[in-house]
Amino acid sequence: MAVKKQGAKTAPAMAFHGESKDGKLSIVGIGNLRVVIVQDDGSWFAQGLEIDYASQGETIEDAKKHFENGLTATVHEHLRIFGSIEKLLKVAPGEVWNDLLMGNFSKSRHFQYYQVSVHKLSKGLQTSLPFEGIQYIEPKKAAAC
Amino acid sequence: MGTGDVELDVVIKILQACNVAISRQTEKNLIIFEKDEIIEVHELGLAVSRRMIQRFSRKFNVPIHYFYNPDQILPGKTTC
Repeated sequence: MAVKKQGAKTAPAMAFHGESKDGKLSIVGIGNLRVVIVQDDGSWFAQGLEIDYASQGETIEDAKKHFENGLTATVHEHLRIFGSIEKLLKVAPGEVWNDLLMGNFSKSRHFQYYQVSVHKLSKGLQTSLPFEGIQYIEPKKAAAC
Repeated sequence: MGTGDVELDVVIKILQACNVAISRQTEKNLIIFEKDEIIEVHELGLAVSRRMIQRFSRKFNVPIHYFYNPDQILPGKTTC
């Protein structure tokens, strides 16, 4: 007879970031991240608990795939802009934990997420920001404002 | 689309109006959202779900009703 252990603890979430000597390669590992997936009005929503990141998808598989691709890309952007993942390592707020863990969902799943990714970075880009946020205004229009 | 879903184009316009810089990685169908020190990359469909809207509202400090009443945030009318 199978016996289910009562009160068995799960391993804590962890993350590491290592760099090659020349700083061009970064290796990032994330382990034991708990992700809750709930059905959201026909689609699926996945929310990380120890890292406040989320995704959506038409199916559970889509939501998982989008979570993995999106988080990997988010790690890459943090390395590119900040040179570290420190600003990404923020726990989801208490209300999110309460909502997802205590909420009454007809369908929900949870899984533990692991990833190790290698990021090739150009030193010159690490401190630069994309320019999409700049709004260019013609002088005549600016004067009229 | 679910009842709480909002079209992606509308979500992008609202976030941009609230100073979120948005760029696309077209080869991977990923969208980069950036405001202050918050940077996130998401793979989204044509519609954004209710919970994702709630999340964008919380994360980027954008009042949630703007997403459902985009006319309230016309340039020069309201600030975030």
